[in-house]
Amino acid sequence: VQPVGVKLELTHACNLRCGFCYTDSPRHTLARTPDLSDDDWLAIVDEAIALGVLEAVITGGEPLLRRDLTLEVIQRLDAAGVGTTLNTNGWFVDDVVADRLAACRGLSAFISLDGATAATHDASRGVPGGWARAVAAMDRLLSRGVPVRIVHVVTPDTQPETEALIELGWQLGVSSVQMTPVVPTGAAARGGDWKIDAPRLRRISDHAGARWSGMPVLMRTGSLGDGMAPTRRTPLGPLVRPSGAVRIESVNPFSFGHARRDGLAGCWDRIVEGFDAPELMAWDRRMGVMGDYAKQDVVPYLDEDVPAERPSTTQAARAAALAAPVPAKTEPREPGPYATVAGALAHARKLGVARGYRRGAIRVSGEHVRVLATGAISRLNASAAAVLDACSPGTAADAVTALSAAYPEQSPDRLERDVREAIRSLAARAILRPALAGSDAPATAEGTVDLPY
Amino acid sequence: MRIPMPEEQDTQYEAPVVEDVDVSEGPSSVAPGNLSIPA
Repeated sequence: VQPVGVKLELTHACNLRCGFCYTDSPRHTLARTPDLSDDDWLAIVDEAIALGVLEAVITGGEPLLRRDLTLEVIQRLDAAGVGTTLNTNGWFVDDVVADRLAACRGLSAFISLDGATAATHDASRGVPGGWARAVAAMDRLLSRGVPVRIVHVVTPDTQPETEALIELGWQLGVSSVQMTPVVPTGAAARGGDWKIDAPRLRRISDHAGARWSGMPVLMRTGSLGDGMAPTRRTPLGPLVRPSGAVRIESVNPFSFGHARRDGLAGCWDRIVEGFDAPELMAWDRRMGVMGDYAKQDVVPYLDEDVPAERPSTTQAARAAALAAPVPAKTEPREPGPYATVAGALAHARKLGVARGYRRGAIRVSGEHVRVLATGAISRLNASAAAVLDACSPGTAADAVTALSAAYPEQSPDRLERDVREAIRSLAARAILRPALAGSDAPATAEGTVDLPY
Repeated sequence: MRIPMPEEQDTQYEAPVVEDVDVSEGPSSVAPGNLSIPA
């Protein structure tokens, strides 16, 4: 059995201080827990490619704290045709990083954003300035044609802004928004109130299509098998911890060997043979759907890398993990222009409306457009054709100006919303491409081997 | 492609629509070899 995907936690370290961190990265950062070397990781990546994985998730900690390694890993996977997702808080995505990521054919970026406002996001993430860096990262990547998903961790503190946050994502032009409840592992297992109004989120997700056209709003439960055949019982792929320990997935705490000492292929063989051992299945059954991880005898990311053949932890080890305090880095700061929903949305709108586009590789005949890369043919009505014209090259603002001139009776607000929807629709078909995109090829779909935790 | 002038367009505003065109029944489906002959 071959693995379909692989998840690589390149580092324990993170620059943020999220109280709910499922990997307990703030504690590891303060403790300076060592990671595998660059050479070790590159060897693991080569082995994963040789094993035949189709998709990979690059995560941490914050992977871009190991910037050169992360870029090299992504580039190698992409060159081999592996669809890759980068989980990041966006802090370190500057123009150089964005250019390197945009050169990939099959990369999408999952960027954490917990609030519509800087005040809410930064409080959630424990560090001032994170919101502005995340939004800037999204704009940089979207301007270059990299699909971006907002990953929104919903907590009692962040859920009041969920709808405003989705609107902000739409204004920015992100591909999708994923609402994620806190998984009570790692730091979140130490305590805290993470209970949220799940039915409300479900309603938001169900009605998102009408409100935010062309931008899926997803509600994830953390199921590893989303998008895969339900009959497939074997795990989809291995997860490699920053220490090299290999697990089935994030919410499963048992280690099936060490990726360097035993080889990734060797660890995968152990997973295939041993994932359904009775003790492990018993642990699995106690979890239920989302799982009450924090109450189990072995807690993912709190009890580190517990060997699958001895699935238990000691009370002393547990006590030490629970005692480790993780102070937030929050400090008093003047409320900036993004501290209010109105200010934050205005900023997102400004970025989205000013983004430059150019014509993709297309052939136009009358009202029909053929996309060279896919052969797909679309029909554009007069106003859609006007948007295409105005953005070849141009911005949403240019298209609004053009439509306003042709239809002066329409309100500018309505025209702007229509133009933004049309650009989404044209860009999704590669009829329009972001001006800074490296190629005319359409961006690939987001991965199916979704390992959000 | 160009924006139609007001005098030549339907003055009624219609929101932009981008439709996928199904070309499976287009000319290539009756190319030699694809023709189905009624029994």
